[in-house]
Amino acid sequence: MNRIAVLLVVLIATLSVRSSQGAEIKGYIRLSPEFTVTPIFVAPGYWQLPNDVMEVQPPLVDPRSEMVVELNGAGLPNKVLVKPVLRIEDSRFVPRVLPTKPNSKLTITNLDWMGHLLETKTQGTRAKRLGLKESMEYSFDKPGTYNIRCTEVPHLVAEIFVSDAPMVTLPDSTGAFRFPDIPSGSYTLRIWYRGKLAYSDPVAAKGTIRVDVELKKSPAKD
Amino acid sequence: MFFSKIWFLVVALAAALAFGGALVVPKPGMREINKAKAAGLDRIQHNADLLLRLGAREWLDAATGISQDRKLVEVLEQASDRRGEMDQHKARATDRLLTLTNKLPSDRRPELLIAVDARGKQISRIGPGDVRFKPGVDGIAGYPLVEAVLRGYSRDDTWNIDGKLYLMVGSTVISRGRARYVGGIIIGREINTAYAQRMKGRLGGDLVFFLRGSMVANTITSAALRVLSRQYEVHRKQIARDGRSTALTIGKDDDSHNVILAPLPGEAGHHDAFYAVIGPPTPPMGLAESLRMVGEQDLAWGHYPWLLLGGGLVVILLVGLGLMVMEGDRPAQRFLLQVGELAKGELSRLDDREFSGRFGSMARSVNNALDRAEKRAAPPAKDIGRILGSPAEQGTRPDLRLDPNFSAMPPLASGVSALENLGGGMLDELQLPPARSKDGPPASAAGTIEPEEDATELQPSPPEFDSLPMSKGPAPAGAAASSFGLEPSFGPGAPEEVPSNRKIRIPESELAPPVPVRTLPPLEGEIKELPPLEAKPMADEPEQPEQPPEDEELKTYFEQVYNQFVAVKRQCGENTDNLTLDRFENKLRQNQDNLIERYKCKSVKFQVYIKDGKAAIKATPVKE
Repeated sequence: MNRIAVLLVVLIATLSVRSSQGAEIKGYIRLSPEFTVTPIFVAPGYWQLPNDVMEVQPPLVDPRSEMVVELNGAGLPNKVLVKPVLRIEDSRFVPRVLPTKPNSKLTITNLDWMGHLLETKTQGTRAKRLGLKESMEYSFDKPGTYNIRCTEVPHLVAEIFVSDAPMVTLPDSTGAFRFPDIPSGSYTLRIWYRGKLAYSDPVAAKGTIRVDVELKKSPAKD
Repeated sequence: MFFSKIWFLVVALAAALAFGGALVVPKPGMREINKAKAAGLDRIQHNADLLLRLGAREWLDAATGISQDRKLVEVLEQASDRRGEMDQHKARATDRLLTLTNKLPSDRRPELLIAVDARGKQISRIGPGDVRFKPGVDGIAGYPLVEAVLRGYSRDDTWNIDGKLYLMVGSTVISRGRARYVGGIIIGREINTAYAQRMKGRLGGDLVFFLRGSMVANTITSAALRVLSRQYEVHRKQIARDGRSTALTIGKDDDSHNVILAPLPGEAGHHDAFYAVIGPPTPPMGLAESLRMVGEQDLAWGHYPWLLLGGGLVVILLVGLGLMVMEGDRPAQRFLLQVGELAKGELSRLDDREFSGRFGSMARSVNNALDRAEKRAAPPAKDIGRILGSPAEQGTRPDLRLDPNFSAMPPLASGVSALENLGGGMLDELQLPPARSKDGPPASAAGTIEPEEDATELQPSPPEFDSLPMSKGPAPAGAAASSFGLEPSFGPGAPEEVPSNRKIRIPESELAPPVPVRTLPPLEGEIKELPPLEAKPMADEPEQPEQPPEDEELKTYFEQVYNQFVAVKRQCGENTDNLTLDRFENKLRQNQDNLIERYKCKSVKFQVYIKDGKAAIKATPVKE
């Protein structure tokens, strides 16, 4: 009996909590043809020729996975919905863009086949050597966009987006994102790309809502 | 001398301009040479860029050929599908890659060969890093080149591998069924000195390659090349904008070079990978260097404007000489001629109007000196009164006239004075305007008699006193100057006219101040009528009185002169009522005394003659 009573209490409490929050935002980002993708690293050579046998494939990393989605508003829990971990593998950062909070630690782990000498402007001019299978921690105290790069491999660049919004997340490679377990209410949805605001719109969260965002234009440059 | 000086200045200015032009002219030429050399260096850089581009394309084609090798395709298909052992895939792929590349000439074999599967995992690697990678595990898909290859592109890039610069190309490997991408072939060639030398052989210019501030390949050795990385940093914006820098000069003296910096494309460009084409510096090109380079052909008759140069020189010389003759020699000759005539006594003054400039100043100075000397030597103006009689007599004798051409005896004139128109009217007062020669400076006094050196030989005709205007008020200096003068006579007969071309006119400003008016005492006595004497005009030989007698004879002589004078006056229709013998005699005596005292002569001879229709007397000192 006691066990049954406890389960009932837990069930009631859980239901009461869910009913008090009771909202979830599921979003999807689409890119219009007018939207210009800006690679995080550009180094053209003399030639880039498509083969004449097969169609050229899209970029291996979808640009939507390099966008940061913020949800702003009162009553939102303060958390980042992405693990604060950067991996280096196949001579690239995964993910290439990582959102974080001010003064929150993020970890970089080198899973590549060679060591790297990492540096960031905000961490001083001295680069830090990250050997094979090694990890190091970074933190940034002010909101903004920061780059971590390897001084030996120029294309090895990661973008750290330090946000003071209550909730921050990353879309997946299909452009889908979600903010689960948020209180019902009105919020502002913002999407950042390469450190620039690409989208900002209010959203009323009640129950589970779906937000389709189409980015038509690239964010204005500085 | 004005135009001579101007001409000298013009010629000097032209010479200065010519010399300045000669100094400046090489500089535009130097600039043009620099431009030409820069253009040449620019072409070398452009060709170097084309060579790098064409080289990349050749290697791209080579990589494409390798990527189509069926054995390699099969290995990569299996590796991408994770079928079989990776080590076996590695061995097979490596063996096949070496087989294929060994067919290439030894100097064209790549230093780096990589075969990746569809995920970018390295299956085979020959070259740097080949001992530490794990086949099928260690991927390089993060490289933009590899990513492009995995998407279906063939492209080139530059990599920095362990501090060495590599030109990389990659080509997609398509499955045998042509249905999917199964990987790619990556080929790298190190840019080293051998590579640079091969490029130099095709370019004709030196090349230097830099990576991250270090020189990784060079065809020339120079300490000056160390500054290139700094120059690249300085000109980074320009290089990014234009694709190259302008021609720069580095180093000094023998170790100076002209360089153009250009970036290398691709990933290594982010590590400041660039190359520099180097050309010889432009030698300094100044006037001396230009002259040293002048050859015979440059001075040949048909290539050099000898006629223009010679003609211009002759014209310049002629103009200069002409101006010197016109403004220097001829005035000097005229000046010397007049000075000679002045020294000979043929001129009383220099005609300073004929001269300008310094010769005019010299002539005026000479004339001023003559005037001062004349002033010192001239008797006071009251001598006229002595000659003419007491002021009272002169005041009562309105017909008394002095020769308007007489003012003072010039130093070179004969020491003869003249009395003319000595009428019987009484002068209330005698106004003596500032005496001067007819065209010369004012004399110190009118009626001055200057002695001759040898009166016995000269027998000169005296200067004439004729029509001297008399008024009670002071006469204007200019009017007096124009109406009162001296005309010396050197002949024994009638006074000769001084040639008009020897008359000297003096500007008003140089005239001496007017002589104060002096009131003469009235003449005493009565004029005694004398029997008329016949007098001959001066054109004929005047009747000569006898030689001056002594004592009693002198009075008789004076009476004869008086009678002659009265007779001549009457003959001329002049009034003789106021003319008395006593006063006439006194005047002659006074005149004689003055002349004797002044010129230390023995006696004075008076002559009566007619001039301009009026009776006149001239006095001549007689030394013997």
